[in-house]
Amino acid sequence: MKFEFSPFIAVEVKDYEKACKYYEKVLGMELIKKHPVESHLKSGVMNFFVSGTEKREMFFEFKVEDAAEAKKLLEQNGCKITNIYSEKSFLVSDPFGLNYHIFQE
Amino acid sequence: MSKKTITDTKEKSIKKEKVEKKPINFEFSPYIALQVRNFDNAVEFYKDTLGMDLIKKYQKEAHFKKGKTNFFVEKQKPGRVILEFKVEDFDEAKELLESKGCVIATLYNKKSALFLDPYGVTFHIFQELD
Repeated sequence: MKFEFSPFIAVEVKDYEKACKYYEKVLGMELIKKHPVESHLKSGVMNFFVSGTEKREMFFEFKVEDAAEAKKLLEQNGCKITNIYSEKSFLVSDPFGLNYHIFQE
Repeated sequence: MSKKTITDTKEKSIKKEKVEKKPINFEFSPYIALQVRNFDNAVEFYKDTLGMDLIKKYQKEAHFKKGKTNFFVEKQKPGRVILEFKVEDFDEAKELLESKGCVIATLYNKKSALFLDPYGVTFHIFQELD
């Protein structure tokens, strides 16, 4: 099973509007697209999806060739599926405190 | 030269300085630090299950690489993910970040510190030492 790291990081923040302005104006990230509750910013090769929630977690992303197989393998290794978007896209929380989005193209 | 002319010249000079001040370039560094629980098991999982390349394992930190991104997995209170930015002038960056509400969580040395921003994200900001 190949987990390909995808250069996307989802960051949950408080004060969404102020946070977007700060990442764009202070840290100089490039604002690609702004939506009401989520914005896509870019810094170097890394893409950031900033969204406003109370949880304030951070998610990485891995692309896989077979999402069902990846789900099975991750569950066998103690990961919990925290959200299923589709058969080929889900969020996982690993036993060590990290969260990531797994998807199949 | 009249007092008014001197004042005008000063104001123009200040304005010019403000206009010409180069913005700080925060360069995203392909290093991400992950603080995890059960360090040894975590290292095994990232290596064997997610297939990250283990570059070096230390007692409390392990360096992995996946694609072009470097991950430092640290034996720490879990949950914190730290992004890293390189700057040309650390002192200038520190002044700017503090003026925008960031606080220093850990000062590693004169040119390297961890900052907590007001929105819940932690950044390592550093200037390369000569």
